[in-house]
Amino acid sequence: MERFVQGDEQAFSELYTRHAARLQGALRRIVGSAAGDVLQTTFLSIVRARGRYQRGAPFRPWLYTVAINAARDHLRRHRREEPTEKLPDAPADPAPLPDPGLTRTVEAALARLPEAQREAIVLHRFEGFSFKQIAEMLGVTETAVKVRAHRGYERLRTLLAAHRDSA
Amino acid sequence: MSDCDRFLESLVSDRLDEASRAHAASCPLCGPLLPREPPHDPGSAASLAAVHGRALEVLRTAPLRPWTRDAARIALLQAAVALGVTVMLGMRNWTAPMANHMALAGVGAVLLVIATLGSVLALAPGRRRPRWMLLLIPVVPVLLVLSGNGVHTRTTVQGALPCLVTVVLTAVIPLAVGLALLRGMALDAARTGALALSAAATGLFALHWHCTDGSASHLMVYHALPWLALALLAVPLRRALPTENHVP
Repeated sequence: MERFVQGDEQAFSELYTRHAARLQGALRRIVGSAAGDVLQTTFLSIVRARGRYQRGAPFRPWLYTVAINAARDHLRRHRREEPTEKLPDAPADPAPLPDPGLTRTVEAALARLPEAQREAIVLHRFEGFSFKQIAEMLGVTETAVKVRAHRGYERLRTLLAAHRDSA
Repeated sequence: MSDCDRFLESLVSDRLDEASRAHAASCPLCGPLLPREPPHDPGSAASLAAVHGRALEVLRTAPLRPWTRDAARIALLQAAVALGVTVMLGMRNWTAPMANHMALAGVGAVLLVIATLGSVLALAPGRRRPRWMLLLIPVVPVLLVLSGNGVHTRTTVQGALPCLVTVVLTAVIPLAVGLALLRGMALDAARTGALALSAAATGLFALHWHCTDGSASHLMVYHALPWLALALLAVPLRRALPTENHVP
């Protein structure tokens, strides 16, 4: 990270290779099809404002903080495209994940959650951050993040149950 | 409490035990909620390469810009504005308020620190440090009132209004520069408020040495209130401006 801050292209490429693909997946779950644009905004932000990186701070939470800020800015300027399609058909007998059908169902249900709940679940369930780390990233208390996640998971379960009943 | 509810509780407590995992493994509704690695997405390689190339181009041309440089510049600007307006007001009417000189000097020094080091704190990376500045909201009005002599000399609105106008006009340039700097970092209402409190302290500092009305009501309404109002106004102004970088 120190080498990247000094402008080392090789160091930046290593960081990019390690984190970009996974971050793009997380952004797709938060902003939908605009993930590519938000990913670009995120990396251009950290390149231009690398002088604001605090020496010794872990890179991944910092990167995700910037990405969440960029995603929020994007969503504020362009309303997220509301999912109008019904959830994809669930498999008749739910098998342990990863199952492409079930994965798609979960992701479609995720897209129906409010932004704050979706952020908390994407960062917790998919990205493996602790609630304390998520609270730091979002600039709220750990309790607030847990409440958002709890409501989000409950809503997700309700959506999955309704989908399962209708299948 | 059902097994599903118990699972949810343990999930949001970051304490997933074996029993909860075993339940999730057999429950079609809880199973999909288990934390797991995201599926690999091979379809985005082209866009990843494009973003990488663009970021490298910018890295080659964008010089390293330490945040301390911007912070030092705005701190110097605000110090210059505060001292400059103090001198300008003195040339017109160098009337010292009839107050305890030690209290006057002490509060003046605090206001100058807020107008200079306050902007450095407001621009510091991360979310925590700018929030410390918000503690000034109750502190500064109390200090202003304590430094006043209690004598009410500006009894009409017309007589008192120049104080309010001075606070607002003195803050215009520091606030405009501060808002421009804030565009280079993530939108953060607390940071914006903190920087505006620091910028508006320039006018408070200048007035502090010249206003002859030391009554609590005058100091609150015509000094502290516009100072606070500028901080509140800065938040929607910043929100209306586009953000160049999203780094905290």
